[in-house]
Amino acid sequence: MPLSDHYQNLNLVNGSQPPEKALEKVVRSKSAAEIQEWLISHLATSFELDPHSIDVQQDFMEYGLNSIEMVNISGELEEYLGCRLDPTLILNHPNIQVLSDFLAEFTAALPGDRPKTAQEAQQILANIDEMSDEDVDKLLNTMLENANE
Amino acid sequence: MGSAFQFMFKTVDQPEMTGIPADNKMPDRRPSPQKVFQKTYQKNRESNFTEKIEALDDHFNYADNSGHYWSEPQQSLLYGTPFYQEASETQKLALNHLYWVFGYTATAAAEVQTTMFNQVTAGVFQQLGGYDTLYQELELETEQEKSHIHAFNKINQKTTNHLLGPGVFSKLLKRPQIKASKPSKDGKGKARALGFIAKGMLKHHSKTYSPYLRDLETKYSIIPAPTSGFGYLGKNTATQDLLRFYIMSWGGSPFLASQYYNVRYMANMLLKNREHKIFRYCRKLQKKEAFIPAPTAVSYYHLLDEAFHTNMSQVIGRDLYHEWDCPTPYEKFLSNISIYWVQSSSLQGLNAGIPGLYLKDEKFFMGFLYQLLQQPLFGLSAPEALQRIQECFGEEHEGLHVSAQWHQQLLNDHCRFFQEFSYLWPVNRDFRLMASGGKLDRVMAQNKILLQEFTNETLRAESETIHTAA
Repeated sequence: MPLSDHYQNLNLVNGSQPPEKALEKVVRSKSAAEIQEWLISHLATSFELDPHSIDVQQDFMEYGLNSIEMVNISGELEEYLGCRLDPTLILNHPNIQVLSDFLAEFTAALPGDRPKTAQEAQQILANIDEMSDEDVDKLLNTMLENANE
Repeated sequence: MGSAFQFMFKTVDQPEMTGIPADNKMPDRRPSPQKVFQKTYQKNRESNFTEKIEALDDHFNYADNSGHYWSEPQQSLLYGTPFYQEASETQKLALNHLYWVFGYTATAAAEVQTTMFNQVTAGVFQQLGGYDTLYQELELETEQEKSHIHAFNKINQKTTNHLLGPGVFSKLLKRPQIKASKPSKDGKGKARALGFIAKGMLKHHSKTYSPYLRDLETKYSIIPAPTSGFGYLGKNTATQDLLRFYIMSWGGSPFLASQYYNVRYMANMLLKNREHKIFRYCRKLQKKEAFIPAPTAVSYYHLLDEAFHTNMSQVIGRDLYHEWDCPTPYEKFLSNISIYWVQSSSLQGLNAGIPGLYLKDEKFFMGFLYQLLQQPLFGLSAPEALQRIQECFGEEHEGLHVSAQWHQQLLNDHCRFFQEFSYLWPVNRDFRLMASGGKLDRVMAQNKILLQEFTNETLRAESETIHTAA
């Protein structure tokens, strides 16, 4: 059975909301000031700091933010803003001020970031079982092939 | 000052340290790195594994996957321990799902580092000229990593929110000793001094210095060193400084840029050590025409995507430097230290509670599991949880044996690959630190000491809490 069928069956069995509806996100455009406030509150809670002690121009890394927290924040920002974000965006936007300005501009410019529909997802997944064990092993052994060619 | 350092290292570090003469020739039987880059880039562009991961990410719903194992039961937290034997089926499923989450939390953190280090080193190859395909492939890999991280984080958050409640899992993984604070002037001064040394020690660094790194230097007051990823780098401020020093070194020399890929290869293989088992589980389900949970499918496609990355790590780290002048003793020294460091931090342990975790930081994970067992899902009191931790780490059990076997597989893989690196110290070429970490009698002896410390600290903390409350 193709992998895609599992997901098709699953949706029918669960009888839950159609996936397109369940996953639809509405982009919430926020001002830089609102995003800034959200980030200050988030950082203060995560690091048990007084919100007033947070400097919006201080590098995130200087607050001791590690890779795991960086990814967590971007995930929670996605929920807050209702759009898909680059999980590494903090690496290129060093502090609260720069990141808030960027996100305010970014969300304002989004026409409506449509996620892939279930049909598209199933289509993408449809070919998995066309790969034989041999094809899969061949792909995984690419490195050995290269080494021995 | 830089040249004085160079002189010092040239006099103290000689090729005969390894007992094998220095040789910058690549074995004739291999295709040229350029040919491999072109072939890999073409195949990677034609593949659509990342898109499949994105589709699964978009549609992930924990409830749809909660009633199934996402991997073989061996890949579960606390597998093989007395607690696991007595756990209910619901708890066993949760331990299996939390194992997936735990593993991919670490993978996501490591991939955040990869996105940065790929760009730092790609910049060096770009400056050298003639490596356009390599640069493009690394850019493509960086974009793919971002999709992987996104999917892992989404599945992890939805799963842990359901099983433990929002924010609980992250809190359990947080290290109490790292407190956020304003950086001191000393910290900034130290970072600048390290940067000065890193740049001063490298010949021609200004010609090949990574533009990406230069850009980061203008944006940040101190170059970011994203921690908690592979190599367990940045567990404290000392290792954070060391990581920052390495970032500046990898971004300043073609040889060191290529040697970063040996570290990346070690991360690739560590991931493969865990993920290939999920991959085989997925194939088994497919053949049986059984339900395939979405996280299992994500692991399946991730392994396929990462096969390209592993291939690239191998060729860049092992073959590419043969195209350039011989590395300096200082460069060889740094390359050795990085491998030694990763061995010591990430491959020298054998965790009795988390099969396939080789980090040498058992006490922290005793604390993690101790807190986890007190969550409503497992419902243990503090003394009961402590007893379970003592059984888990104080007695040999099946989970520990499974872990030792997987550790040995990875050790064999590393020894095979690194044998031909003539400039590596024997301790690195033979992975002696890693080998010593896989010996069960040694693990048990160490666990006994750590367990005693952990028990004393926990009882002291509990009594202080009671005292404060009273």
